[in-house]
Amino acid sequence: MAAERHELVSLIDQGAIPPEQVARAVQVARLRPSPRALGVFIDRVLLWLGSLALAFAVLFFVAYNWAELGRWPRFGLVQAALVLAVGVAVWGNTHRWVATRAALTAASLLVGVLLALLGQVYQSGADPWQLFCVWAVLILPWVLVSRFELLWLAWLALLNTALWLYFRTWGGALDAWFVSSDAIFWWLFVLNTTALVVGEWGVQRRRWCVSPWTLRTLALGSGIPITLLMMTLIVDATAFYMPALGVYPLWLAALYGGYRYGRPDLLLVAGGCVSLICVVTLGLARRLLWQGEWQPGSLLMLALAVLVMGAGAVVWLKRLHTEAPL
Amino acid sequence: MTHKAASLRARLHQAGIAVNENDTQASPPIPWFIRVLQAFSGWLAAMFLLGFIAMVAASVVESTLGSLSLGAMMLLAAFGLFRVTRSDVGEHLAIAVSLAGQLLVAWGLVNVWETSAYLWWALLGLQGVLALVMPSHTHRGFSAFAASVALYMALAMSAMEPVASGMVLLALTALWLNEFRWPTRITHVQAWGYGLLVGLLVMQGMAHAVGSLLYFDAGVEGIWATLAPWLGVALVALALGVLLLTRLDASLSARARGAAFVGAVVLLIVTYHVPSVGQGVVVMLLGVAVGHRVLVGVGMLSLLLGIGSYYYSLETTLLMKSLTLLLIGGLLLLLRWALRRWLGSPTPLQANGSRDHDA
Repeated sequence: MAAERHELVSLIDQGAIPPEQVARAVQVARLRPSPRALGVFIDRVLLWLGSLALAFAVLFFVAYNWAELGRWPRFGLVQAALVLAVGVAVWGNTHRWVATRAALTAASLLVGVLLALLGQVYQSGADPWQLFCVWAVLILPWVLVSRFELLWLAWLALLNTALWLYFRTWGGALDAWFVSSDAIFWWLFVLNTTALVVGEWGVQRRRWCVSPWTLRTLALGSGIPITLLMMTLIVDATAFYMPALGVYPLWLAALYGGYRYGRPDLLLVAGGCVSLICVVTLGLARRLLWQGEWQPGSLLMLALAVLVMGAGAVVWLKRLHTEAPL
Repeated sequence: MTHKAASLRARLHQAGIAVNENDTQASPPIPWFIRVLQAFSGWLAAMFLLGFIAMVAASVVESTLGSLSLGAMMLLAAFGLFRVTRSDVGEHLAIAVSLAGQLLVAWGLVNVWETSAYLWWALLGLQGVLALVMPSHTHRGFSAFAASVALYMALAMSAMEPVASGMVLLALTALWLNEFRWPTRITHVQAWGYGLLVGLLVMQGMAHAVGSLLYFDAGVEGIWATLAPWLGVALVALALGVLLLTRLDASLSARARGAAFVGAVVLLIVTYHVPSVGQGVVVMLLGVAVGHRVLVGVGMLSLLLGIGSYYYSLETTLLMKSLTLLLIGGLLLLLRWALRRWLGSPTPLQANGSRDHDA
């Protein structure tokens, strides 16, 4: 559908279709869904919205922390909801995969609610890293069974959150080499890059059906930490960040090689360009503004540098797009 | 050329639509993310350019008339540059000059009106004009986005934020439904549509982050502030009504049409209690209706953000929110069950023609 829409818009924009025939061409391109496709869509929207609303209702109820209600009714309520969700998943497993996925997603959310209730009742502290870590471990079997990309992404987000909270609490105690809480960016980079590599390997070698948007999200999770590490190195040139000098160019080269020649994806190449523009601009700003003086000429030079880099990236990306349109 | 594109062309030929082959050898349309990159680097360059101007011509920038005049001249220069240039470098430069000019004009207006509603209405007018006249796809999209944010801020001064998001939703629904109406202006309509779409998401984030603060700071009360949530739902209803009336297939049975309108009423009831749900669903349905996956994705994102920010809403207790969600969840699943009983199970057909039991 997306490719046909793109092509149709292109034909109309270039004037290849006479204006009086555009309306007919839109009909022929079948951009609008059939009644059956629309019915399926609405059916699934209702299923997902309904399931998530019920799971969130339990979450909000626990968050209300109703003092008059004893601990056992509260545990009983969450566990009953959990059993119900798992029951629907098991029932749907035989012939209704969408219902199974919706139920498993709700069940995964309810596991987090149950852990939060444990923390609330036994005063183990708000938002500790253990909660997210245990949550991720407990729902892993369901994530594996569901084969559902959104649940995989949610699972990875839990791990990211657990790492983030761990470093906010304990600094770099996880590894003697990392001595600062800023090590979080290294760990997030390693985690998300590993997930991206595994995802790409699965797509290329094992023919996994993974949406390009899932892989793009993973690439974003990999690109943001390494870009921030490189930018931190520019601002604070300490030995701790020095490995970024070697890792960042390698990451850029891998991104270019992988998504220019391996599995072409221009959006990710464009993401690499944005990262590079940010890093180079900050480097120039440090050289011209921090280390030099705030001269008007320095600011003009920075403006011109950004213009040249941006225009260069656009020209290059357009050429790549013309060679192999999406 | 892709296989799908070839098949589209073949279908067009079969339908008796003459495709001018000579014109189809031109370069393909530029993807949205290249436009985003262009806007981002233009904005970054504009920041440095503005710093340069502030240092070189500090006395001009400090004066209201000076900054307004200089800003207007830069906007005119950018317009001229857009008209004459055919290169990417020229377009890039024009974007940076225009953005720096807009910031100077905004600075001059802040000197006149500080941060009152007049400032935001004036900026809305400026961005509206720029969205219409600037001959650049990227600039049109950016100005549409900036206009929607200015509208939000202007109405937030009167505690009418829900009206702003409803108006933007209605405008973008009208734009995407009429995407192909003016073939020579198709890229203009798309640029405005994308700009408003991003604006809608940003407004949702602003409503969550600062909306309540603006309301309390302004201390606004009155009939319009009281009516704002109702007006917001009415605008969502209007957008949904336009969508259903223009895109419901004529071949649908009376039952299916009735079910669609019953579903719409349920959605509006939900929207009144959980704001943002309506706008997310309308954007999603709009994406399905016009066959645009980006719209569907943004609608889903908006919906998730809406439910997430409902948690932090201060207008009711978590217990009431929990009961509301319980009721809504039950109602939606009941509606699904009723639709399946009433209209039959909408199982999709697989490529081989057999039924897919995913549903």
